[in-house]
Amino acid sequence: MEMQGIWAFIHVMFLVYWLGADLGVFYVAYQIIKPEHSPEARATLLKVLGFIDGFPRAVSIFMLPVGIQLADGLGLSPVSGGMLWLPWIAALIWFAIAYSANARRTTPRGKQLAKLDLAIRAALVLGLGVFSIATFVSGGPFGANWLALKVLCFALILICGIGIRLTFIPFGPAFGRLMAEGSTPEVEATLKRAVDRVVPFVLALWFLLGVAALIGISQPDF
Amino acid sequence: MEAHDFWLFLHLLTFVYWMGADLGVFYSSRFVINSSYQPATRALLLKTLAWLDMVPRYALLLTLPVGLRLAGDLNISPVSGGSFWLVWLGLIIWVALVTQIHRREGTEAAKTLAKIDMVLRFVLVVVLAVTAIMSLSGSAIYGTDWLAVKVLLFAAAVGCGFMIRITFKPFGPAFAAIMKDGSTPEQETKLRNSLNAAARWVVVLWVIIAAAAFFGITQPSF
Repeated sequence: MEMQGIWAFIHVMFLVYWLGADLGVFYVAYQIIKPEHSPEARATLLKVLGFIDGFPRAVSIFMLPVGIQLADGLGLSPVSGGMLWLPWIAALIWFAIAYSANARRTTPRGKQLAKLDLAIRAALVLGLGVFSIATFVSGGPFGANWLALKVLCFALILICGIGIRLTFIPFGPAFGRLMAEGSTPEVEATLKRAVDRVVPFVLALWFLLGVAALIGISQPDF
Repeated sequence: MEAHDFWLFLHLLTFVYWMGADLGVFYSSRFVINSSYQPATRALLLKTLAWLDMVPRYALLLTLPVGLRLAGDLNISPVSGGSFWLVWLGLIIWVALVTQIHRREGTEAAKTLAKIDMVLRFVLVVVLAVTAIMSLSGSAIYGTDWLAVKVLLFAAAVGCGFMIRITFKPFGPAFAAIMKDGSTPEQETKLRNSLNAAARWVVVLWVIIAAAAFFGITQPSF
């Protein structure tokens, strides 16, 4: 049994807990915005949502170092050999930032960390986007065009993630008001609007994840 | 990009939505058995759980014909060429059966259909397990040993589904009693024991299907 097989398995398991788990997040979000449910029921659903959502949040960060390991196994990665621990360290630090930002999201420190997390994502979108386009144009730094296309998909997925975050901002405070003051048409409208606006980004993200998986499976030459 | 890649992609998606969606099912169930929540909350969580639970059910049905199709492409399937339409026909009938059981839940017809479904599953487990073991002990029913192991694991997964159903049987009446007459320690115990027993089989099921994925990805020869 080679390491490549084990990395491929981990890569697949990450997709399971990203794309598969996201379905639960999506369905539960639609139940939460229904005014006919009791405040307790809606608060409990939010707990469920928070728990399930933790999986995509975590695996999406570690997808990158695992992908790099796989690419290295095929001799296609610009990061290789003695440098392979670097993406892991970077992912661990990023995960620590993203995790604490989410855990302390109501505190000023949490808000600061969320900004840092957003900056990391923006930098990654830019960096990965530039590297993948450079590969199409000049044959590097990635060793194959299909890999560059996958990386480009990942950059677009990160953009969708940022879109989800930004459009979902009004949800938290509105849900807080719902719990504190009860249901009002205004609060309900804010909750529904936040979920409705997130949907296109979520669907685009799922589609891109599927495309990325299909590219990884078929590894087309172009 | 070849047809085989699309089948492989579909096979991957059945795994993603089987195991990934199960996460939401598993976590929601913890709230259903928690008597400190209002009945309405528990009922809503059960509804959420039941909706999410349909996804793995369909994924399980779809994964077998898609897997056979993949094996057919690799020339290691006992079912191939002209007789393959039988497999698809079987799938369509089975999907219709499972859909009707879900739609008519609580009726006599659903109970009869559920019995037919159970018998079919039992036959499937026996056929798959016997052919897999025969194949592993020398008669080349499946073209490779790793495929025979996967088939055996699939049979075990369907077997786990049996155990989940059996252990889950007291759950429905106990939950109905709690909804009707309120929470009693006796019914809560029944509910909890039933769910905890089923949850153990769910974890076994996850290990089995992850192992099946691992064999499919690494395709070890032994």
